[in-house]
Amino acid sequence: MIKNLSLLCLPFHFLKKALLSIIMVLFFLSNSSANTTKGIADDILVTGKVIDQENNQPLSKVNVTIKGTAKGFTTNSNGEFSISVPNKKAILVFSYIGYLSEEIPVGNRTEINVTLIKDAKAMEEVVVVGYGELRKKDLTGSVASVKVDDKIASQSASMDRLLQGRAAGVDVVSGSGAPGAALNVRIRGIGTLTGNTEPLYVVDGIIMNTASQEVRQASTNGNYSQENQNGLTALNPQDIESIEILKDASATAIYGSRGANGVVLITTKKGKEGKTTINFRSSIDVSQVSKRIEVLDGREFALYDNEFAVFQNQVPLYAGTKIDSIKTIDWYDYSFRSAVSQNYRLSLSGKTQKTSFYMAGGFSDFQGVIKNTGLKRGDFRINLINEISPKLKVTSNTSLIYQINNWAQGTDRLGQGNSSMIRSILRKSPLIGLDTLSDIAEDEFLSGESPKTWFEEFVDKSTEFRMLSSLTFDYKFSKLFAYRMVLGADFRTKKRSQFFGKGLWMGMTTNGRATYSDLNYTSAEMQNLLLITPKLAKKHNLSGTVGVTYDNNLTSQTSTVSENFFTPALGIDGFSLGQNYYPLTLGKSQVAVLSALSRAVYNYNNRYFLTATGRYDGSSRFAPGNKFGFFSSFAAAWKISNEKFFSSINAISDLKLRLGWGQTGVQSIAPYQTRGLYNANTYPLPGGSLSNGQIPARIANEDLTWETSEQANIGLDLAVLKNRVKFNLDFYNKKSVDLLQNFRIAPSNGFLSLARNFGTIENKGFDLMVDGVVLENKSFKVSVGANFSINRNKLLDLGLPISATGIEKLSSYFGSNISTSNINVPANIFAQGYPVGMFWGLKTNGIVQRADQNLPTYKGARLQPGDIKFVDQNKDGIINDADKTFLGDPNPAYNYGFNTSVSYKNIKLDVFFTGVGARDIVNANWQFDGYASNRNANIRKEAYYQAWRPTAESNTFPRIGVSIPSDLSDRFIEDGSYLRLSNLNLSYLLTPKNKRVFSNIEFFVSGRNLLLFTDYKGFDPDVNSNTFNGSLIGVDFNSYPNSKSVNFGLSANF
Amino acid sequence: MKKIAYILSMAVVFSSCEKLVEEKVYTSLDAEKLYENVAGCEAALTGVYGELTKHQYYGTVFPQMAQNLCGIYTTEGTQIDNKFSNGSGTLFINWHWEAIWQVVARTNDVIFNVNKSQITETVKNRILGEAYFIRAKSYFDLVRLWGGVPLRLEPSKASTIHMARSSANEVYGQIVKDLNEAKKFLPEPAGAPLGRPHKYAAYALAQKVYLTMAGNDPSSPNWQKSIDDGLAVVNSMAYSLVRPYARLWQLPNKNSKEGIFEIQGSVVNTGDGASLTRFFLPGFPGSNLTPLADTWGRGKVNKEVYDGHMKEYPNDPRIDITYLDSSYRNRMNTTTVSIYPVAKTGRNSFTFIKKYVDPAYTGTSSNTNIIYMRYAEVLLMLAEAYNEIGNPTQAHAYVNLLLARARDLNGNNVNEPSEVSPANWMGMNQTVFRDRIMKEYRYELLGELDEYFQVRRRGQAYFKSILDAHNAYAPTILNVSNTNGFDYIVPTDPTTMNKIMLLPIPLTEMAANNLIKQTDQNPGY
Repeated sequence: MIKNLSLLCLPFHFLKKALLSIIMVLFFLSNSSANTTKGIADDILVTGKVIDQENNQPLSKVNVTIKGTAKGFTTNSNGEFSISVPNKKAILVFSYIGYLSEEIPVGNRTEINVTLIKDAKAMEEVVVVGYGELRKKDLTGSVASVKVDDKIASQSASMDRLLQGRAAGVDVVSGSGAPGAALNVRIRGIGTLTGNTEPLYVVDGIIMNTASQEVRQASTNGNYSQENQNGLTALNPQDIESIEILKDASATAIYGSRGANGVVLITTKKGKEGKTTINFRSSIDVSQVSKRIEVLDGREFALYDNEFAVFQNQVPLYAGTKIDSIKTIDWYDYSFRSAVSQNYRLSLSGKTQKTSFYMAGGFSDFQGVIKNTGLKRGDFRINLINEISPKLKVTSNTSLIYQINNWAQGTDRLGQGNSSMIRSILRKSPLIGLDTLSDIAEDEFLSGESPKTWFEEFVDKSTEFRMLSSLTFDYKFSKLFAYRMVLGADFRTKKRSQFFGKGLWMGMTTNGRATYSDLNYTSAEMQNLLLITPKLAKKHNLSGTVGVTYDNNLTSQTSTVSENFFTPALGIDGFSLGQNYYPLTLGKSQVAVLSALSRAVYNYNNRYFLTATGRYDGSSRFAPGNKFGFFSSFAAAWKISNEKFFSSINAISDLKLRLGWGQTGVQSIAPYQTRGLYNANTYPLPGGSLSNGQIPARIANEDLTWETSEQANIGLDLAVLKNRVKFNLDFYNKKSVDLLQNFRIAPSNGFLSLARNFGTIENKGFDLMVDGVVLENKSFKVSVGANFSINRNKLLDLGLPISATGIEKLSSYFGSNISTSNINVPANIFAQGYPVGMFWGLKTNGIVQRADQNLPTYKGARLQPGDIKFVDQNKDGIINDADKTFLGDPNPAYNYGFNTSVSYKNIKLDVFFTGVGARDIVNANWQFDGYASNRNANIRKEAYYQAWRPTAESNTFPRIGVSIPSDLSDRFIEDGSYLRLSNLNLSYLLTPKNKRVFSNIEFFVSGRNLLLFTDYKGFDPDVNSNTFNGSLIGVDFNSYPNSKSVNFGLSANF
Repeated sequence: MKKIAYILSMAVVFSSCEKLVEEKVYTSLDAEKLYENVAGCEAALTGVYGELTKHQYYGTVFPQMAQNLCGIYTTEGTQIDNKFSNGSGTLFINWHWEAIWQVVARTNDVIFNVNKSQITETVKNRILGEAYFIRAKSYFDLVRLWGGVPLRLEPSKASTIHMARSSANEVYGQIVKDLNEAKKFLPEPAGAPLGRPHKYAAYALAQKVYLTMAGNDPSSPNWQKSIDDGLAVVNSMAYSLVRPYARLWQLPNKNSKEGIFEIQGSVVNTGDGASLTRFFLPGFPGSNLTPLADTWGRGKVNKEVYDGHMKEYPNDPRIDITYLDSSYRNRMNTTTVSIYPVAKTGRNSFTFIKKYVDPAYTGTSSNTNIIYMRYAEVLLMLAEAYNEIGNPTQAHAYVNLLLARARDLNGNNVNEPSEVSPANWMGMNQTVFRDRIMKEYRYELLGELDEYFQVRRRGQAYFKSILDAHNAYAPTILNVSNTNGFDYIVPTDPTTMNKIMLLPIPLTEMAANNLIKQTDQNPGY
């Protein structure tokens, strides 16, 4: 079985294997049907215990009755019962709300232990769909549910990480491996050019759409950037009960102008029926960098230096026996550590008569594998529900979080050792002073820019406080009407400071430099909803929601820089010791959205379902006249399995066909684009002080309006074998029109871009999800789940003239430059007829072997032996922009994930794999470590050993002393496909006999990222160094490496 | 039905609810508020000047581009290829194009809105005059760098984002027109704030525009026009030569009576602050002339330039002020670094420009000004133009005014026996004078960012002679094939020469402007 399932990892064979698995399952189940025995006797006392199949916890208040009689009993708080039955023929019926009833013949037994299984139907009865819930059977749209396992949740700083590989159609790419780093989440491909592909996040009904929100870059030095922090770290994943991902337009249209990138609905935990449970969870996680990039060690570097010296007509420094006396350092060992992360969390939940509560608080310390980096977080949540009267219910959810994040300087525009900490680790010479050749003390040798100075003189720290709070009133007027009012608030304050000491280039050129920036965000939301369930004729079921919502948020950001420090002693806290200040800038903006929404859900006899939604949105982002827009969707479903003709087909327990079409919008463009406003700048007065100037910020475009995404979806839900194996298959075609673009305009306008609506992107694909219980009996359970998705992305129309671009004729524009360093060119081209962000540059054909006057010239010089052999596409003898062409595609062709869960009695093993197929990456790091061009910088082993030499020709790496070509070429493009063992989790549940202290303890050991199968030569293929930058996609540039970890923990229930 | 009715009623309610989704502005002004009063109009004008000091303009990009492509400097910056292989995708060329156009757009915004504003006439006229002056300067730079460009004279709208190139003649026509406006609107010297142009700045710039338009054509009527405007400047007595020459480069004397238009520098203009200190003083290791922070040392003077000056005027006091030669102490004062003429080969075998020393340089900004034009140039241009129209007396008289200042070491305006070099010019024929006056511009104005235009203004053959002089003077060139090398043989073949008179219209413009086609691109790109 397992062997068969493991084949699921081969996506090409996916369907075939899935079918095979079903057959296997069928086979298995037919053998495992229960046998019953018969016997005869008089009154028998039967005792036993009822436990929950899911978590092996005892179930109290379970009804235990004898079939055919009124005689009954309920289990006590330990799940135990005792009942006397008349004879062996008696059948005990165990029933409990939300669980499947079990009927067990008593037979010869006097002790009967029962495991109750949650009723899948009852459990899935209700799905959160936005502005209300729906019965799952009424669902006509494409909705994926993700279950959150606390064990895995506690290892993750943000919930978006939990989506990776868990749901078909959801592509999650990390910005870097740093704790707290931002991720790019894309649902059904890139459908927008604004760069903001993030879905709408809704927590308990309140919009928290700020995953990409960050403080300003305080530095005005265009070369410097700070890594984006993940805005979702302010929601503790351990508080999440369930996640629903709305994918197609019929599901998202209720979110109108905000739903086009998909909607992620997060429901936090609530108190449950039963006695108060206290849970304490603690885990320790040890992680290490998952991969090293092998650079030259000390001795190798000395040899390299010798060879370089010869090339430069100099005397080798480490000739003869001198090489034996060098002192070296391993900068990896120096910079990386076994990071120990800790997580402690205490939660209380329960429900008294009218009040249910969930309270949780804890502390997490995520240590980064690079010294000094990490995320520390303390948080508290309280969720309360109170039924004031049978008609009125009040729900209040509040979370408070405080976190401190320490960053490395990874990706930045320059990317050299003196501007990137990550680069410095790879690049710095491993030689640290020479016993015989030099009397320079070690310390002095290290005093220049090196990982040492980075760790000692660099700080990048952010602190954040955030409160998410909501209050909901539900009032039932009558059977027909219910009214719901939701009030939500989101307060966020965040500060970020950087300090560069004088040992670092940035600090050296400015005599010490500190930056400060902060963010204050307040958001208020109000929803007024009327839930209507009109009485119709029998078999006709209709329900509806109408409502008005309003939300308004205010963002205020300040930033400033201080330079020229007479002492660096106080680091960032000594900001005011700087003697040159940049003027403090303040930016404040407000966005308001007013909406009217409605949804009607109709079904006839539980066979034919119709859903219609409409939302009328008004947004402050657009000019009067364009403020309001209407978005609607229609969907139908046919539950074939409820048809009479289907009742004879037993193998299939559920079959539903869904069709949907709808429109959603995107308004994620910076505010004020329709208005001609002014920005500040400065100009010195002759006396030396500054005067403030005002310059127009943009060309105003009053015609700006929503980008609209139209999506058609055909879906099929199939469940076989009494719902034990379920399939969801969706085909979709999504077309985004009137794309909001920061449209590149001719720079002669005095502006580089104009916000406008133009262009069309198409995303087509299919999502497949399979879940199944392969085997299940009293003590043994095996379940599997898998998802697979394919997406094809294409820019259909761009509205630019067709011009000769490289060897092609294209309507296109280029993205922003990879770096301001060697490769000072764009990575991506946005071309009509091609996927978004294709890679663009020169093709190469190995290395030039022999001198040849017919070889083309590059940058004015003829290619010489040992140079990279660029392909002269147009055969004009010159390698230049005219020879450029497409090099690769950053959009994955397919994504997949699969998991297996095996439990035997109290032991449970969960395995989760995730993978991406056919995604190209620009590994921009090659510009530094892939060429033997700079004597002072370390390089990859292969770049040295396989370098072309007159005496040893090579076709893989150029000669020693080659100058780095400043164009992107196919040498940088790598296959970023991978298959990863994301999680491996083994847990053991201990239920002590004496329950005075605690009812059970679960111990677990969990491994994250233990195996990675990839051809990618950088640290990790799960990388996109420039998160939220729509014009620089799929580039790995000095990103913080990923880590692998082992996590030990326990969870105790009291 | 109910639902539809609801939606319809909501629509009605909503239209009165527009207030709820009104876009409130907090930290920015709109045109109406900005141009409402004098202070606002002044701020908009200051905004125009502020654009000049950006990284993409005088901050880094223009100095680097201009020095790399004029044939008399060597730079180690890799952003522009010294060997003229730059294409329409070269980033620094793109950036410079963007930066000049941003200034044009800001002046258009000021002219458009100040004209409508209700502020006092005097202030209004001055602001308009300055805006016309800066716009003329911008188009003058554009037309010399790229030839004919689109003529954008009003703020861009969504409907005007595409615009075709006008001819170079049309652009020059507009420059003259703008300068006439500037002459009309700008105040007399007494009415102009320090550091801002007054009426005669517009005349001086017009003099230079006509001189450039005259090109290499001895019969051009523009020589006389240039003289007319130059004489207007001289006769106004608005400017005078600073004595001695060295005083010009002492920081307290910036914005002197000699300056016609100076771009203001200040260490507190952090970040974007334009700084030739950073560009011209030796970098990595930096020198002790900038004790706080390292400089870049990207603009290094070629050997033939230094040697030429030494040979022509061995005792010219300007040499000591202009060049940092032989050696310097590194920033930490620990070692001495030898440079040209002591170091004869390799990376250090060049001299640096010493005009922009500022010990307070912070790493991004300094207190030094960038002098776009000064009175010395007015005199040189008069001399050159008089020589062309066949008036050697005036020609000699004007250049000798300048030479007298140059050799006046103590600045007392008395010609002392010790002050012999550079000696007055006498009795040169027209050809010799022409050759010498072109060199004189270089000796007087080296490092003042005019070389790029100076080497091209008299046409291809003249530019080639400059490059040939360099190539002939490079026996020590090392490692020719290495683009990161230290000296270069510059290509001077006809294809290259045809190409390098103008820069390529950037790809970013070509790709986004529907009205500029590949066939409209400058020759050779």
